[in-house]
Amino acid sequence: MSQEENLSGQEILAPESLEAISPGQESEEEVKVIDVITELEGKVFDNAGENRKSLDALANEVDGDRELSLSIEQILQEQEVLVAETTASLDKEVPVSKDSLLDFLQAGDLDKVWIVFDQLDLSLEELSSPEIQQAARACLVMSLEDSAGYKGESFNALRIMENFRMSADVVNVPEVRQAASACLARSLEMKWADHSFVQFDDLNKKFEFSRDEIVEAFRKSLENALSQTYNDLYMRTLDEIMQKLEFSEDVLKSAEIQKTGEEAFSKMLASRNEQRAVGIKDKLHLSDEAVKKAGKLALYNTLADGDYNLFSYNIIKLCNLSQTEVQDSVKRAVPGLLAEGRFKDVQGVLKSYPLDDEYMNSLFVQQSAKSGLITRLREFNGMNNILPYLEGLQVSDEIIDSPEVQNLAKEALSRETDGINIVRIKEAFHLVA
Amino acid sequence: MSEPKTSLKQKMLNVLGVKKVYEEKNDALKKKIKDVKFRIEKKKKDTKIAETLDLISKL
Repeated sequence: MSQEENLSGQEILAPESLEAISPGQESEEEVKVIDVITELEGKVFDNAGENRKSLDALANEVDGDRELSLSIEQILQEQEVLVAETTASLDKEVPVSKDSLLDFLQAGDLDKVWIVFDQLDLSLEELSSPEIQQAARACLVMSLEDSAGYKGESFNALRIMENFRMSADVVNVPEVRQAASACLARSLEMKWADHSFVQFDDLNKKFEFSRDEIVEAFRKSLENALSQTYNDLYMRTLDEIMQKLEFSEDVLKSAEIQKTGEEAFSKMLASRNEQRAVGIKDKLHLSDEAVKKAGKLALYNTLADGDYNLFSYNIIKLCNLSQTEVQDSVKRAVPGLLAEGRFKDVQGVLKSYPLDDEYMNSLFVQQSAKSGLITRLREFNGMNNILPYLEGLQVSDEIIDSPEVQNLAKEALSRETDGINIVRIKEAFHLVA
Repeated sequence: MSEPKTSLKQKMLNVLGVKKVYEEKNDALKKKIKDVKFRIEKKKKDTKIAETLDLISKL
């Protein structure tokens, strides 16, 4: 292949060596050329940023030395020229084909879309063609979906709509509006980060959302802010957001928002985040009924974990649980702890929240205690987890004297070497000869 | 708008040429930045030495 170099160092291919290629190959070749151009443009941009950073740092160290300052200034200028020259040279080489523009639009590859678009200079008639409009719409949906998953930025979406002169009838289809609505929700959710409603306003102006759509976007933003990773800052700016959307507190009372709030409240209690739970309860005006329901569940879970200390008291206070409601949760938690042989925890729970003898002597509770006893007796040192607590558990004689318990207790006794423990086992399990 | 089919290979070669030239020039810029950095460090060292000598002469 005969080659020569032009003045700028670029290699020129002799025309006679160029072979004709098929349309399919041509498209592939175009993509390859654009790939290399995009990659190089990214590299130029990154390098320029890196060089500028180094030069800025050096500029702070010249300490009034004019000669050094001038050198830095000169390098900066050279860099600007290099970036401009390289970009201009690359722009000249962009294969300007409508087919590649369509491909990039359909793939949602915006960097490449704009590289080709800027060179194509399409007429209004060409822009309005169904194929371009449909591809632009697909790209618009992808861009909105990307933004909805990221920062709710409208910049790319608006640029697509504007540059491709997308008409209202092309944009106003459910697919696009749904993606735009998700993006709108995200813009509200990210409001705290941007300190303004610019994204929201831009999208709202372009898509002219109905009140119902805005309420839905608000609900979605609230749901996102409350679920997964709880967004404190969103909750702090909730009043501001509602003011901006001109919502009254009634919006918060909708069944869907209340449900979202109740789930989040429950989740916060489960993760022992009392402060956030209070925030949700107060800001969303959760009903007493919902708060109590979540409170009972949280109390049960806490006690079932064997935790009978401060947090369980806090739940009772926060959710204003009555004595009966507390008893309900305790009654649900105790048999589970008994069945697992967690007698120390049972003793702790009962000390904080005593249950009546009738319940403790019920068949269900006694059977749970029996399961727990058997579990512990099967353990080599299980007796250590039984003896200190057995007295307070009100285990019936019938269970102590049952053949399974007796056999296991005798085995444990035979293993025991401590004289005091031997006496205690014999007494507790009626093994006195 | 449509291009001669044979021009794509040429474009690719031209782009690679632009890349080569860019990389060379960017390397040269980096060398210049490094040189400025060296000069700054040298100046700092010289100042420090001068200060030390000055201090010694006063003792």
